[in-house]
Amino acid sequence: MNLTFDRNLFTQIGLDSASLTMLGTIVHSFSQPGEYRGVVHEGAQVKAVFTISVDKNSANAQASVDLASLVLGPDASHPENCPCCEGSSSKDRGPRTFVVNPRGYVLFHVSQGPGGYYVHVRRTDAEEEDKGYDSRSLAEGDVFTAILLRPGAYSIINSLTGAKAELIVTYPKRGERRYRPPAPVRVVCHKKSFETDMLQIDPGQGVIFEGREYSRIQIKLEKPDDGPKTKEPASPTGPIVPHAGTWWR
Amino acid sequence: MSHITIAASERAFEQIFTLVRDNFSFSKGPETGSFGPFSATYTVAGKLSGGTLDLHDDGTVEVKNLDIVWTQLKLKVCLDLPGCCVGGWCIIPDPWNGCLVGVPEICIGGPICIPLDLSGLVSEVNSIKAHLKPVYFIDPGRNPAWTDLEAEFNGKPNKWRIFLDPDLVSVDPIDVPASIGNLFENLVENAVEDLLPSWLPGWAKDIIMAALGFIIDIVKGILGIVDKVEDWISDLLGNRLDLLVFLETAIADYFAAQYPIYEFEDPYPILPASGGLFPVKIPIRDLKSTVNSKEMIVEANVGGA
Repeated sequence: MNLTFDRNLFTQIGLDSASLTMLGTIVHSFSQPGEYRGVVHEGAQVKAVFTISVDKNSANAQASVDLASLVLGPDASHPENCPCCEGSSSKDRGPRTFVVNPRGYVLFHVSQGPGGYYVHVRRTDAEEEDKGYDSRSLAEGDVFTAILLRPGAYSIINSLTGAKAELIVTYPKRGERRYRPPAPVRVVCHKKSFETDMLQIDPGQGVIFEGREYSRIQIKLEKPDDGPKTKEPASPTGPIVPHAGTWWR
Repeated sequence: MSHITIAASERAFEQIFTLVRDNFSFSKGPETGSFGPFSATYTVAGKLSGGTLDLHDDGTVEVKNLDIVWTQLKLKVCLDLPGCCVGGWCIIPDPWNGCLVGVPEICIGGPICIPLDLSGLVSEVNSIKAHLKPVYFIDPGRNPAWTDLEAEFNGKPNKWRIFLDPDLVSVDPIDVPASIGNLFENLVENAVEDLLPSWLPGWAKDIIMAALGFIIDIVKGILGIVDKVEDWISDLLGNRLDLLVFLETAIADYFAAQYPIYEFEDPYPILPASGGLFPVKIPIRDLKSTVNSKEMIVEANVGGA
């Protein structure tokens, strides 16, 4: 298990499906067999390229494309055939190739770092007028998942249709029982509305947005919830435990 | 019958032992041991104090109740805080085998260290049983071409040294007071919270602490503490980090080879140099040393080998 205290998990509070960070993923299905060329963008900049081979003979139902790994380069935490990156191959020195069955799905995610990426994928033999797939505009059948950690009240907007919803992330409660985020909730994105427009979830719980219409999901913190008042500082710890900061690695 | 016999009473022998004991010190570390889910790093230093001496007619010396004063005893226990995981759930279920597409899991947590400063603790050498061992010492700095007189003028004479050679050194387990065990339990939660990165916002700490649940049990589970914390600390220091063996070896090596209880030059000066005359010295051979219940006895013969 890879443990992390990646600052970005705690400093990037909002989510935007057009700018993927660690807490957001996009799932898209390429239903037409063929070779696709993908480009990872950060704003106007091209950060990395990859290829997707959509092959009827492939047994891969899911290809996981870690955009951070493509941008930053593979490292020890993502060796070849790592479960995090099913369907990937980088045997040669060219762009990494992901193989998936046309009835399967490609999952775009960011495993580390600040992210802020979107992808543009296009068939290698596409006509000039074929614009391909741009993750800034989620297509029908796409799924965007969001994990929200920071307690508070959020607004959800589909900036392509104007649909709105509200979301509350409750403050965690400490107890003897170990907290585990509940199962994710599902929200269907219709043309003018979200099927559920008032949501309440626990921190770390997922929200799965299922696209029925072109969508760009933007989640913004409107009112943070800082929980109960900070408790009184602990009494002096005596000589047994020196100041913790000097021991922190 | 020997040409020379020197005797020192038990009281005089005790005074000699006190000098030798007070010259002993040890230090080690930082050393780290890895024990699966956690690691422990220690830095120790200490000295000896107290002790009672018994001379026996069988030629053995017994030291009892010798205290080990840990002038420095710092222990740092590091473990991977399990934290909590988000994600990992299924996005598109597969009716046939569970899940077609799932979100990667992100686990929030990391290594933390709990420092314990046990400096000032006193433990005990249960017993040292030893006999006297004479050793002939030739200074490694002595030029082989030198005569005994030249060696003396250059401050590198040969010597007879008498060591207290231990046959047995038995160090008691480090007795960690129950109060430290209790304090450790009381402080773990605060320590874990304090040891989270300082930049982590309060709400994020609360999520992690909520995910940890009852922190004492979590930490105890990771560290493998099944009974009293103080017993676990004692076992960790003494046995798993091998400090008892280190101490027994250090004490045995010190008494047996590093610091003699008594030494004298060979040839032995019986008249010092004066008035332009060379000193008068006699060679010592066949040196033997032993004890009985009343005194230490050193016997030797005069003359070359």
